[in-house]
Amino acid sequence: MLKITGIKKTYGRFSLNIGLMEIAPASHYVLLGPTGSGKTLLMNLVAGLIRPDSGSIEHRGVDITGMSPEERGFGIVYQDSALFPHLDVAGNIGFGLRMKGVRGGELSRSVESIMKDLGINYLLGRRIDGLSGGEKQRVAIARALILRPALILLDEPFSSLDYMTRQGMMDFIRRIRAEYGPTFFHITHDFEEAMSLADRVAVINDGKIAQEGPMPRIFHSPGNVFVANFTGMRNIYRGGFTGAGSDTVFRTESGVDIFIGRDAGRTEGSIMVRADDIVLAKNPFESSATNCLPGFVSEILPRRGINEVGVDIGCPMHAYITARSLNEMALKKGDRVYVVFKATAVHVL
Amino acid sequence: MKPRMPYFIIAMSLMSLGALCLVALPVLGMFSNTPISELLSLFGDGEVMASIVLTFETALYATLFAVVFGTPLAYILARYDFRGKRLVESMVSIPIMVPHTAAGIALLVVFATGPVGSFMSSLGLDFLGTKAGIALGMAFVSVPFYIDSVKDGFASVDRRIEYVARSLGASPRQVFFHVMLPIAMRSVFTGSLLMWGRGISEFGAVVILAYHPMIAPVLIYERFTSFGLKSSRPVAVLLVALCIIVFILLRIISGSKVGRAENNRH
Repeated sequence: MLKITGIKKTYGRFSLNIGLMEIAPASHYVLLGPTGSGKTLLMNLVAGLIRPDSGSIEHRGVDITGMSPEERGFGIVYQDSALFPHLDVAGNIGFGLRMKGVRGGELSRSVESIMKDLGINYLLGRRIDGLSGGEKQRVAIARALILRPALILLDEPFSSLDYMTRQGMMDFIRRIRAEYGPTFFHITHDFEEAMSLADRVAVINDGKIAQEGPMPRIFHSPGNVFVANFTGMRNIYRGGFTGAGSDTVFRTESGVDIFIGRDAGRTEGSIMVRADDIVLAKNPFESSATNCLPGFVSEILPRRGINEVGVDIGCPMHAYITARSLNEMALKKGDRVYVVFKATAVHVL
Repeated sequence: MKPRMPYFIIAMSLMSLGALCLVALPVLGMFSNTPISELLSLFGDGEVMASIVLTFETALYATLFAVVFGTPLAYILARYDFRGKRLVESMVSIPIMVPHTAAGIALLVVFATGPVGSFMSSLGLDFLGTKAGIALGMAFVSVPFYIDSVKDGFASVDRRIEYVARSLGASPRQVFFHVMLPIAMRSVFTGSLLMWGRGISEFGAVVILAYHPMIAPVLIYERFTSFGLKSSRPVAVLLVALCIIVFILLRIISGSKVGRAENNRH
């Protein structure tokens, strides 16, 4: 268990302030946040590359706050690999063992063994400058993994890779987790990456944790407007609440009424409706869905494996529908449609 | 469609010729006005050969001094921020701005006559009219070139490479010797060459500290003032020719060494 308690670090006007963060052994923990939110700073603190102004970091019950990076022994994999340019592939992978005094045949055998295990033995003898982005990342991961670290820190590891290579690298990370069982502390700004790999996620904004929890909870129930925005939610509205209990209605700033069917506990705020909780219909229909709002199709955007349909209901609302549904409904820009969703699909932020 | 004339490139090339001519014309003129027989006869002139050997030797000592003591300073300046860093950087650049004869006087006052000179003398290190004095003069005026070159080399290494090395168990000392220095080795070679070449050409500071034994630039000056251009020119041509040859050889050697270092396996 990695436990971060009351960490504070100030650089000029920026201040990182982490109350409590616990990372379970053998888990994949993702720290998700935009550029400049403090995630790299937190990673450097965990790695021991910088010291906090206050607070503590414990690993397996031992306070490691004052330990140097080499004493902590956590692996680090950076976005651009940060391979040693003066060493070849085997030299890079064997570097950590060489620093521990391993030499000769034992070193070669260890390097070749891990390269074989990871399926990169074809890179043996290759120079660094001849490797592709994905190969470099595999070498960087092998370099960290050869020392069997309890914790591997991944700093935006797939950001500079193309889509196909990124998918391959995510499979690679999953395989490593299954075979070697390290804990991953992974920082990224890419929500899809987090969805694909994380057990737990912390969303960081301006040096503070905006929300923390299991991946599905962050995705389905973002706790605030920032998290909802950052996790790619489309239908976020500001406005006011009226009524009480099952009659509670939210009125957007543009005057659209949305039934939420429960007390919001406040008079104004924000709500969110997930695009995949919305059904589009050509005609109004009666169902347990409380909201059936008329509008006009304003845009149809093809997304990866799905289509996003923008509907003007007095304010823009987006729904996801499959290509088959899109064809069956023969939707086109300007068509009149109804957006239908349950009151329970409305998240009060 | 007619391709457009690259006027900008042509204008830049023509203007570049001005700088090239400034450097190349004196050297070419000197070579073309010196018969090869005059050059060859210098190889039998003991005084000339001794001065050239002395010049190369003392420039090498100055360079070794810079490698041993200048490399750590370059590393500190490249990697650490500390109070007074600007002042230290300015101090390192002082020799570039100071007239070299004035530098010679300063070195003479401190290392040959003052308390520092007395202390060094008690250690058996005299700087007046000795090889040590020549190397001191060369080192003083040339060391900024070495430090700047190596500092740039260290500064260009991505900090994350250092971080990864630390995470892989390397101590700060191991990071320096196993990562930083090998990666910056090309800058160390380049800086050494610059330093050595600058040392060979030094006259002003050396002539104050050690007129004798005579390094080649001092000998050229002495022959010019005593016997005129005809006597000094062949020595100058020989020195320039030897410098060019040695520089080319060192470039080749250092290039292949750095190349090998970069391909180094465990």
